[in-house]
Amino acid sequence: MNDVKSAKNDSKNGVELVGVGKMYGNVHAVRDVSLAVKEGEFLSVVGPSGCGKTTMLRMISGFVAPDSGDVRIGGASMKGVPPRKRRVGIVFQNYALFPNMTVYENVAFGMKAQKWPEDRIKDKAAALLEMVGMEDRAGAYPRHLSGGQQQRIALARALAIEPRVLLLDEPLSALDAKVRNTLRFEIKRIQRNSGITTVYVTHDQEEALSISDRVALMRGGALEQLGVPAELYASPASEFAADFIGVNNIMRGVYQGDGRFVWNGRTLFVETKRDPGPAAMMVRPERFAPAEAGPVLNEPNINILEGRVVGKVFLGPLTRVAFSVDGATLLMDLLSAAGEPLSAGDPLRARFAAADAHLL
Amino acid sequence: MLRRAFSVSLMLLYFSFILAPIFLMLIGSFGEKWFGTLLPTGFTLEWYAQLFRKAMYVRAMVMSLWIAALTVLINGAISILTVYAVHVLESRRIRAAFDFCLLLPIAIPPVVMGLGMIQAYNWKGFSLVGTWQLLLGAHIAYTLPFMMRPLMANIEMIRWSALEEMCVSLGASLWTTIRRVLIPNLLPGVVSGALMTFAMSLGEFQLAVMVTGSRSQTFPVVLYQAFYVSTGFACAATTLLILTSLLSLVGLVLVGRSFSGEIVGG
Repeated sequence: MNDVKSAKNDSKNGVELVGVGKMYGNVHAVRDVSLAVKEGEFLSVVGPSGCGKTTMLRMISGFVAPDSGDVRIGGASMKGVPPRKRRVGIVFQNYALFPNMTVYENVAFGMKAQKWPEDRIKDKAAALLEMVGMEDRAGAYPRHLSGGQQQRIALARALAIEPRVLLLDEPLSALDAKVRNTLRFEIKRIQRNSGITTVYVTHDQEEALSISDRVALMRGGALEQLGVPAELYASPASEFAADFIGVNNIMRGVYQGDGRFVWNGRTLFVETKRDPGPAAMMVRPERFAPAEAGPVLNEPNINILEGRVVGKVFLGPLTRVAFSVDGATLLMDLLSAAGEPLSAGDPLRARFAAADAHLL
Repeated sequence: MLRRAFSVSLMLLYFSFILAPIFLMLIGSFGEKWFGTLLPTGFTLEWYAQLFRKAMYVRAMVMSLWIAALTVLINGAISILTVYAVHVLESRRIRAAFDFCLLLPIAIPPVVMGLGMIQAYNWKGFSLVGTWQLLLGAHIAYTLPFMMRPLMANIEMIRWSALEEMCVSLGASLWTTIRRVLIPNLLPGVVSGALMTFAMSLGEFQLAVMVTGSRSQTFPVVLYQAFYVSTGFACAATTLLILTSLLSLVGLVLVGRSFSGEIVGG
């Protein structure tokens, strides 16, 4: 991954949105979004349904014209360029394979339409089918393939025309969990090997975090936050981001300055550079740990909360414990372990480091 | 058990009600005499021989097949284009208007349609009434919904919008898209629409009897007149019509299957 990326590190942008907006009636589907996807980059766009992510994708492919702003591919404005001429590869959630054509014919369709020479089409189609692991099903019809296999073919078909950008619109949403996980990393591998600029739309934040170079979070048609996955997870820019990406404990209180945050009459320590005032503190469940018995004494870098266990959920490797502190319910993730099981009603002391709290 | 016996006997009753008269026609067409008896007496092929000797009947059969075939072809072409346009426009209002238009020919009795056509296309010095072209037009209008319906269901089932976007993004021209993707994937709908409209046009009587003239009569019209000739002769003519209809439909199914087997079969 590094060699492909470093070779293109400072190169131009693959796709660029410059202040694009789109209204449907009185509703802003997309409002003033500016965003640059570097060449060879894998960018995911996440957000709840109706956040404008699909509209954004359709503006790149050209099926929706922005009311304002500009879409650029490879540095060139796409104003007035029809979708047919954009050389954009698309993969849909429902595969949209041509039912009347075999796997091979599906993959070859774009190349034939663009009048490539016959032997080049053959070689390219064979190479693509091998890449997606479907070389032995070249003569099969889509209806004989599983959902995962159909999506592999759809991917090969999109890549066949050597597009400048690959757009994937919820490509894994129709598949079952196991296939989804395998295919997710295969998409990533194929993208990495071909070095194609990719925009991946999904509502599944976990999927986005696990395969993207960067993630764009959208809300109500606007860009909420853009960053590498770890950054989005560790320092969400808003309560919405904190809530949408992963699970979060949100504690509302007042920041008094000097690293002190008052929540329900308790003083908690936090590392932040913000100004005093009302604020929300966020702590990821896995940042909590059970603390030894002892006095509640918050030092400048460790916070301890005393409460009672309300319930727990076994998640496999993790066990999620809900505990209540002064009437507020917080979540703590612990590595599942045999012995010493916590049960509802037990007293619990939970600690977290000041560095693990994030203040908004 | 009782329920099973009930439903089986109900079905038998239904079939005998529909099939018994047809079966009697078949028997009657080979009978010498059929008067005052339950079944005809004697055996003869004379009625069939007469049928093929009389130019009027042969011409009417050719005319019927000709009009039914043209109806299917023109219906198919109009329907594919219309259904494609209505689907791609994705306008709820256009869709509502479309659905309403499909109901019209069903709501209006053919006899009303026929009278209207006589009024509308009969001017002094220039009249379309009596020409086969007018009957063709009437049959197209009358049977069009039965071609449109299966096609509309078909285009929705294959989720055409996504397929078309796919074609466009892959750089295919509109012509390539229609020829290589739209039409092949609509064939199942075309076949079932063709079966419907062909059968309807071939057996249609009300419009034909009002709109056609002596040179453009279709088989159902002359068949009706045959009952004034003799019972055996009429039975032979009826049997011929049924046979032609069945053979045509079987042929249509076979042709359709050979084209669209890849999509429907499997």
